[in-house]
Amino acid sequence: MTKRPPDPDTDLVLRVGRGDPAAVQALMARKLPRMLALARRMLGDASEAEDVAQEVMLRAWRQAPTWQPGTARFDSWMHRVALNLCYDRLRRQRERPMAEPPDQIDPGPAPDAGLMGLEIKDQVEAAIAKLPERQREAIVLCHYQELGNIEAAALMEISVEALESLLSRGRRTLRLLLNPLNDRRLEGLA
Amino acid sequence: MTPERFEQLAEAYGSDLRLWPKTEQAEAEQLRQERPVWARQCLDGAADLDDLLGLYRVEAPSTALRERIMAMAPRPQRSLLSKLLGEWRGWGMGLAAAGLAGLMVGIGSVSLMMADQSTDVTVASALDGQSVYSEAVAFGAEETL
Repeated sequence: MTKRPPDPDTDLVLRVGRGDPAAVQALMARKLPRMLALARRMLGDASEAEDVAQEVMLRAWRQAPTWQPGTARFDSWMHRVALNLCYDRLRRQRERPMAEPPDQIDPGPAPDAGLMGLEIKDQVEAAIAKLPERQREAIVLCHYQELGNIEAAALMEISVEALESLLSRGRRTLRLLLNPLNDRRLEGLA
Repeated sequence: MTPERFEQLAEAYGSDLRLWPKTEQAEAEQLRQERPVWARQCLDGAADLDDLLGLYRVEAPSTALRERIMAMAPRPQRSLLSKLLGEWRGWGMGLAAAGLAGLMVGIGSVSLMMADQSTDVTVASALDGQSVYSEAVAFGAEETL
């Protein structure tokens, strides 16, 4: 059995648990951008992402005094909390149109209008938002959050093989959606 | 590692071998060195998508968000000794405040008593003066009359 590598956050979390102001600042600097980015890419909404990131940090403050090193990595625990909060919000987003039909037609581009007309960055963002939830989650965890395959699979409660399948399908879809963009980008660079 | 597996990994994890499964990185690196042209072609396709994904950056947390979170952060815990010292200090401060209040009341009472006495003297003097004045008026009246 391979030995689990030490958690790089343990010392910081224990100090946060004792209310060390410098540790509180350091943990927030280390984790808040990460949690915000995860929620932003999962939800596609800046305001909701802020709410999720704030809630994750508040739960981290509450958890720190009783944190038991060696049980799990603190970063994984935070990802688990953040993902659960994102799932809740995504579920509510799915249920909302059924409960509250929109009063007016969405003035945004029609679904078949594709991603043209947006800035490249916005088009990438839109393409990721179009991915099925589990594919998006796999890409966010592995590509953007840079989690290892075992950790990402554990967070998603799937096998490593299933994770790889989600990643491959997600990247294929993104390539299809973004290929015209890539051509334009390469023309711009030439 | 087979070339097929190398392609599968590039397809799933992208062009950066550091993001590939740790257990397969060494073998992948070896294959890349053995077949550099083929490996480059294989990774270039994945790198194009990686570059595009890299354009999706998330803004840094706002000051308002950081402040909201900091407002609820844990505060320093006090040790048992400092708690006891703090309580003793609290009691001491209370006793000192009570003593000071008592002292002030005492000083106030003494001042009041002395003020009462001086008032009595003043009133007595005033009364004496009044009688002197009455006598003078009576005397003057007699003179005038």
